[in-house]
Amino acid sequence: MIMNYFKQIIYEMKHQRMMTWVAVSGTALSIFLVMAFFITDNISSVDVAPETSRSRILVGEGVHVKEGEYDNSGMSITVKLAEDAYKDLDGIEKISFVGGDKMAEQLSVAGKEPFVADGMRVDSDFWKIFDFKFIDGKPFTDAKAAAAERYVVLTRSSARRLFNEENVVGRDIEIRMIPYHVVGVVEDVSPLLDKTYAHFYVALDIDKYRKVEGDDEVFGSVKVLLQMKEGVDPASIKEQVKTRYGRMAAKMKREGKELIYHEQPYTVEEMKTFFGSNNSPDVKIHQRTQWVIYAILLLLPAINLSSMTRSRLRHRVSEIGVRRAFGAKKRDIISQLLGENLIITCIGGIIGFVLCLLFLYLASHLFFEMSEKFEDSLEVLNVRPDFSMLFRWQNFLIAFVVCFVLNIVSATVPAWRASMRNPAEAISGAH
Amino acid sequence: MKRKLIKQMCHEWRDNIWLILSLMIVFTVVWGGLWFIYNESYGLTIPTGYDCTDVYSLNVRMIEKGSPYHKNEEGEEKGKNMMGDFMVIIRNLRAHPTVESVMYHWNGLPYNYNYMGNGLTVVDDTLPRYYGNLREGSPEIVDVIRLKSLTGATSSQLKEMLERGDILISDNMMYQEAGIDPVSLKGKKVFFSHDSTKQYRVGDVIQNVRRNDYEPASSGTIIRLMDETWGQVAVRVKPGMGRKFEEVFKDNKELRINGNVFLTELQSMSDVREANQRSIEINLRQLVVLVAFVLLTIFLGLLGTFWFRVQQRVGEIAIRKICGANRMNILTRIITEGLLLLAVAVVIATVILCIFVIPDFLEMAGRTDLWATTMWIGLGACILVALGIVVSLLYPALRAMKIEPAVAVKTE
Repeated sequence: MIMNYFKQIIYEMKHQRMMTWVAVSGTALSIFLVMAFFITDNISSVDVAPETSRSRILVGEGVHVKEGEYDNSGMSITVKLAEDAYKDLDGIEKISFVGGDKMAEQLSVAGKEPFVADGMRVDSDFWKIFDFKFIDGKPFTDAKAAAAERYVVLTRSSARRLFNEENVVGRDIEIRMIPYHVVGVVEDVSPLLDKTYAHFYVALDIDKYRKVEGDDEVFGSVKVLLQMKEGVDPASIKEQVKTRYGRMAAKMKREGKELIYHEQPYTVEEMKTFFGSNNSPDVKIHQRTQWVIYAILLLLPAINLSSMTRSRLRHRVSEIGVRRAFGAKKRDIISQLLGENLIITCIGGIIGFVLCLLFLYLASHLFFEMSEKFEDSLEVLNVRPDFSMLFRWQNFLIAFVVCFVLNIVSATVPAWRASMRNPAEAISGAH
Repeated sequence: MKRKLIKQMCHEWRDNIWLILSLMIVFTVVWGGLWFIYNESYGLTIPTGYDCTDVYSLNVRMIEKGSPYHKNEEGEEKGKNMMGDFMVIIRNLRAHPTVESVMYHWNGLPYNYNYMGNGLTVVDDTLPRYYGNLREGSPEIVDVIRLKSLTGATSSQLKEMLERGDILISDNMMYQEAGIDPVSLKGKKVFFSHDSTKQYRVGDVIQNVRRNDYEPASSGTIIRLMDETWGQVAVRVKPGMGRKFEEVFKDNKELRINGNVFLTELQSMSDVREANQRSIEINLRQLVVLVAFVLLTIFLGLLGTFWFRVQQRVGEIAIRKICGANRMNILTRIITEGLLLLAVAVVIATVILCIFVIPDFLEMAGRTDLWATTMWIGLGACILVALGIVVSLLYPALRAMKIEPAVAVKTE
């Protein structure tokens, strides 16, 4: 039966060339745009190495303090506040303290031109939360000792830039003119992975930070990454943090200060919507906007395709009449027409999806943005998603679902109307 | 002819309802898209208050203990020497032939989303408090980012004012909305609201220094002299000398390092602009793509539908031709049909939008001042969609014009 669908489509392509061409290109255009918007919106939340458990990651960072008419906010907090708010929460598997800001620093080795690269300060648990692939060496396990010994983990590209090779464990480099000892080399991380992207990673000694922060209560230099246990609802974590911040806020209120913590820790979905340190993320508005865009991108082509399908089917009124006269049921007519249309939609869909992936890869700098754009070096200007971020089976599945929906929306009514024609009228060719 | 056309359109009401519905959505999306594009890019049409062409940004770093390059300087002399080392680098940069001007600053450059909001209280006056983003720098800030006086003061005069400790303030939307000319503050004594012990004289009023090319300023700018303290550095190079300066900076250690101080992260402000405005520009790009997409979709939809209609009406067109209709009549008839469908869609969509959507939308966006502009944008959207319709109908119409009456009637 499917062969008949193909034969019919080939016949239509020959005899209604313009209509078929317009239908295929309209579908391709629609799938292209729906998928382009979907992939650009989701690339910052999909699970990709080393951030393979993004949906389980929560972030605790800067807060907002109001004192009279003065507002003060920052992207990082003190170690003490981080521990008070986030340590030992039920449902949390691992917790990692990282430097609040990315560090754009000068890297060099003797005899080579220095260059500026993005770095991160991380503790030893950071390596347990994320799946970094070590090409050489291994992560540090004791951050305090690693900070004292000045250990550094490089990425493949920064190792190459410094030494022209990748197996450089045991060699020394200079960061901000201070010698560091290379203990590991990891695969490069895309700037689109904002929790892990850097060119080098140095150890963060939280005891040292605690000492430097002294009596500062709120604004410090760290943020917290939390990995939830499987199946834990982020709302339960947020509820515990709310209680803890509530206690701190009550204490600060007695000092005439208002502590606003913006319902942290943030989920990956919340981190997607840029909101600054003075505001809370509004996922609902973001999602609503996305749904409106998807609705427009689907509905409009569907209406147009529907109108074209109706036109195409008018040519086949007599054929449908004959089939009905020979005993074909309405259901058979509808399923045949929907099946044929689905094939045309899928042809358009495949063309649109392939073009979309190529476009996103080649023109990515025009459409992808970095969430940490204020802190990085200008290396992020050259960001390009890995193919692994684009070629995901989920994207293929979504593309097919979109094709299917488009087909149902655009062809059901015309197919149903065609099947309802009286066989005698249809055979006589009355329109 | 028009009555007959309308009758024919009524006869094909089922197909036309789909088209009208589709055109209503297209018109609404194009209208909304153009509105957002206007709103987002409005900032590009008003003065920025700065000029960062040929400007480079640099960060100042200290060579810390533990570095083999660190020079031991202990005791009270340490801090003094550090500043001395820093100022030597600044002097070396200023003396370089590729360089026009050098400033050290704190929050002095645009494309930086820090907002050091400060309130100025006017001494002995009833004027309301002036709010602005505090930007501190050496007097050369006037030349590096090209501050512009609103009272006609020259750059040397502005620099002199900063050198003698006066502050510069800018025009201010809040003041303007209250009907006060910020120039009236010139010469007045003010103090920062958090510190009433130190008073400043307002030297001059300048054009507002915005945070970037897109975002219109919501408050003013306050420029204050920065003492010789640790900060960031910005260099304006002579026109066309950017590439040479980058090379010289790499090769010439005197421009980068002195004592325990070094400059790093040389970034051209055009790159910084690109990085920091990327999110705004991506939004704009997506809007443009969305508008282009809906236009293209309707182009394909109309092309397909009218193509079919022309095929259906071959006999009718042939008879018209036999009865004396020329090719232009046929073309006009098809295009008029498309435009009439658009007119119906626009009227229905406009009524619905004006009653149910636009008032709430403008209220939510805080732009109730844009009612008239929104209507003009609507007219623009209508013209744009009409152009799209004309273009999409040209091909089927040209095909209809070519129909030979004899052949067509014979086929019938």
